[in-house]
Amino acid sequence: MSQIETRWLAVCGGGIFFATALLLLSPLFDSAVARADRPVFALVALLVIAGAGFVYLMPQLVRDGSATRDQSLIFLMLVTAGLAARLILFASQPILENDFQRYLWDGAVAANGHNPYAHSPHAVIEGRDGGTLHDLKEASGDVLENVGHKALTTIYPPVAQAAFALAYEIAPFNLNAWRGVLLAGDLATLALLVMLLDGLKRSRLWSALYWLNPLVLKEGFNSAHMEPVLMPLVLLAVLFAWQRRAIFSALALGLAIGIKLWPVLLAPVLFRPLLTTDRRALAIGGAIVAAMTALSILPLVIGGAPSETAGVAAYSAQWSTNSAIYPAWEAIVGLVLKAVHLTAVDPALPARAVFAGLVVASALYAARSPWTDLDELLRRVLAIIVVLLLASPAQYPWYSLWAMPFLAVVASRALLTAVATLPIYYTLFYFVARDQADVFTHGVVWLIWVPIWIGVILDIMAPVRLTELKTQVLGGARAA
Amino acid sequence: MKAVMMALAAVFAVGAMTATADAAKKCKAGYEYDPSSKKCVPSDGS
Repeated sequence: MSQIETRWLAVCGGGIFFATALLLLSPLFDSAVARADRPVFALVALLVIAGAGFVYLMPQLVRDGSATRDQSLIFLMLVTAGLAARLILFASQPILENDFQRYLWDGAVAANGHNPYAHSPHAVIEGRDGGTLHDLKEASGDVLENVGHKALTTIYPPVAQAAFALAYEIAPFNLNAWRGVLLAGDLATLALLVMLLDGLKRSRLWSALYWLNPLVLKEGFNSAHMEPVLMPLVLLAVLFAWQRRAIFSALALGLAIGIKLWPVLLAPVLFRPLLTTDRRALAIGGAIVAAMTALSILPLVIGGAPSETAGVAAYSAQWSTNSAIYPAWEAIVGLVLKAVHLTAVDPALPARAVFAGLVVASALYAARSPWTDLDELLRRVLAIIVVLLLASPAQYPWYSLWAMPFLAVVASRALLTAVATLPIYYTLFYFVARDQADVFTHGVVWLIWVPIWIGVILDIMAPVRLTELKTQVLGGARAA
Repeated sequence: MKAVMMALAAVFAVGAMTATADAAKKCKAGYEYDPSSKKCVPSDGS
């Protein structure tokens, strides 16, 4: 075994060690443990150190590995280690996360032929569903009782519901059945990254920046967030667009929109070249995306829940977590409204409207001209996603998984930095347990985002190519 | 470019200093509305 292969073996071992440490830590966050007694700082230290070590070591390691003639053993090691880390996390309890309870409940409702948008979990618990879901409530064990934001109906579009229902069909109310669905999605993501790297004529070892990424491991396979089901569809839409297979790209994008609505922002850039080369394909692709977007939104709008309990309305109008810049922006809007004596207007509405406009403008700007190669397409898609992440009022660590697959194909100091700083989010739970949430909201949150913004500025002002990445730590760039 | 960035930073610094907790009908970050007690309670997730 060569020296480079030995170093890869050590880092792959580090990935497995990280997953094992997370597994061992997870019971200490059981709901039976008092909130103030949960070892939040140990968790954050583990995640931040793993993330910083990852972004410090991995780009250089990939560069060194890419220079070797036979990379097959290294690739086998990284795939095996990433798979083993994910499987280890199947045994872990989700840490400081309960979204999966909603997925399991929604899946049960949908798989049994009921409308998941009709009743909030609280309505079902109180028997205000007309008794239709009574049997499921009884069968759910403690799942229904532990769903977060019980007063709100589900926010997840129909394709996401299908994925939840698939997990239910595999094993009802079973977290690991859901993780199995996530693993299938993540394996597809890995395969698509390999295809994209082949298309870019780059080493497949760059896929390690996604596959061994500690933030992906925590949020995808400990917390069991739904992003691993979403991202292969986004990548597939990009791949098909690059191959000029517009209909397939539109279908993949439509399915992605059916999981989370934001991929609709990618439609202009994906289909932009067709405007000058194939308007018929553009019309058909556009019609497919429009129809699938409408089908994804309609159930959320007319699902049957009264407006005050509609999850999607509450999320889009009120949710604000872990953002540094959004609360500041909303405060600025509030000051302006006060100055012009419009105090009756909730500043959240114009503040959100302006940020939403910014995101849409960035999506249109990315489609200002036809892209000419895969590299340019990937950069533009990532730029849209980064703007979306930065402008979103809710900036949970797992939202970064919308961008993380692109780490393997586009150099981004901002994203690399995020791997190390986003886990600081979990300190929120330490402060909440001590009734000091404001310390996080007005202070700690800046520790997360200032380094990322520095990375964004560096990415804009001094861009580097993926193969030029040497060592990138917390926004400080050192390009070859 | 530098001047624009400095101006933006100054504007957001003012915003950050005046940012207040969410309005009464919303729960703060880390809390969620409990329909049973009709209060904001610490959340075990997002």
